[in-house]
Order: sequence, then C-alpha cells, then structure tokens
Amino acid sequence: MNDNGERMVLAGKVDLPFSYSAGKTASRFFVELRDHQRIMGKRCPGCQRIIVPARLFCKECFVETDEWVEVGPEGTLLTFTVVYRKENHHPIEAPLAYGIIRLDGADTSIVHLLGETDVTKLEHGMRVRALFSEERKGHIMDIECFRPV
Amino acid sequence: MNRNREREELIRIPIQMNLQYRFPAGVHYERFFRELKEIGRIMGVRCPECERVLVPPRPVCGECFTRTGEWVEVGPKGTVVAHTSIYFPFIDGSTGKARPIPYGAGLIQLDGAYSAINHILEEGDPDKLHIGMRVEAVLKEEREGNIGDILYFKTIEE
Repeated sequence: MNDNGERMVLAGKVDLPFSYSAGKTASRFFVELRDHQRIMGKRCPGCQRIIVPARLFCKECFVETDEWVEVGPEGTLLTFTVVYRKENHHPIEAPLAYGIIRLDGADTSIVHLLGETDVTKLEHGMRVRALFSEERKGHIMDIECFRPV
Repeated sequence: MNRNREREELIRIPIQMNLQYRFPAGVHYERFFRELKEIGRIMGVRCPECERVLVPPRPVCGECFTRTGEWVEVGPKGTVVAHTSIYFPFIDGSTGKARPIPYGAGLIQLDGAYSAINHILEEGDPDKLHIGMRVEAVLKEEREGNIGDILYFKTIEE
C-alpha cells in the first residue's frame, strides 16, 4: 500500500500480430471493395439466396455458390449495439455503434461500424449507406462505416 | 477457375491484436516488488511449520496449508536447477513484444530459498548451460516494481 492507501496493480500486455489468407472468394470481395467500391455477394444455386459477404459455399445447401451479384451500397439497419467503453481495438472513439446491416439485394447481413451519427438517434429499420474510405487496402475497413441516409 | 483469365489476386488480411490486462498484486507480491524496486533485494517468506523459504512469497504454504510468517532476504546469488535455450520468439508479457532469440532461461534457486524462480539467463548456449551453475541477479538501474526489475541472471565464477 502506498501513502495514499492504494494497492499495487500490475499491468501486462500481449501483442499478437497475425494474418490470414482470405481465399479466392473473399479475395475477390475485397478487391471489388478496394478497386471499384462495390460490395459483392454470391448467389447460391440451391436456395437462390444472395450471400454477403461473398462465400464460396452456401452453408444451408452445402453447394458451391456461382453468380456474382452487386448489392447495396444502401441497406437497412436490422439491429445495433452501442459501445460506451473506450478500448483500443475500436476504430473510432466511444461512444460508437456497431450494426447488423441487410444490404439491398442481399439475403444475409453484415456487421459493421455505424458512423457519422449520434448513437442516440439510431433506430431499427433505418436506412444506411456505405461510406467508402479514401485509401482502400483490400480490407473490410475499406468501408469506413455505414451512415444514416 | 478459368485458366484463360488473368491470375486472380489473393488477399492476405493482417491483424494486430493488442491485449492489455491489469491485476492486483496482493499483499505479498506488493511487498516483494516494493522491496525489489526500492531496496533492490529479493524477498521470500518462511513457513513457520516446515521452515521452507518460499520465493516469490506466498500468503500460505502449499505443503502445510499454514499462513507464512517471517520475511527473509534471499539471493541475489543462486544456483540453476533447470535450464533451456529458447529459439522461439515468445511474447514477453511485460513489453508485449517477442524477446530476441536465442536466449537461455531457467529455474534459479536463490541462496536461502527453498523454491526456484523462473527467469532469463545471461548464458543461452546449451553447451555451456548446466545444472548447478552459479548465477547472480542483475537488477535494472531504474526499477519499476515488477519482475522485469531483475534483467537476467549472469553467470558467476566462485
């Protein structure tokens, strides 16, 4: 205990740098984001759903997806969560919000950051639009955020 | 894949995960680190029943289930009781970075202590490391009150 009556607290950290290969389907998804600012899905020939982000296989039908389809860039906010706690892995300062977005033309939803908005004004079912980053690197953060339309 | 098409670009996604944590030292570790930082000495506690000196200090003796008592200074010299040479860059929890390889690590039984502590050895060459070799703690000049205040154990001739 120090003179102020505080107990000692020890700090530690672990930095884990790693990378993974996106594979052929996700690679094209990221290349389209980076080079053409297009969000792409793939159609399942079994259930006809448009799966976004594009996947090689449909997990419902166990068949390989075939046709590439552009979706969005607008969509509907299905649900969201607001983060008030500041942590260094969030791309922006808290309070911030993450949402599940059903892009127009898609049958599955993606999780992304909701930006350029007051978190208290978010509503289920509101319309949002992808804002693309100026500098795109072939990464999901090539979409900077989704903002209300 | 269509062989006539240009070879498709494959993307690799880099991820940098930084995990930070904090934990209360507790009464015994607090005194251990404070003595290390302020006085530069390594302390253990004696079990009143089996008389073993536990380093690092523990509130309860693991053998006797008795509260430990008297604080005792140990080291800074000691004996290597187990050793290894490390060629894999493990993450050092105090810095979050990998320590340059290769390096030696071992269990060191400090003079006056019953238990051994795990720490870095100056000697990393597996042909020169041996059980029973004598070592001495090298402390940091500006100590912060954590186990990194002991930089490593240097080899000594006696």
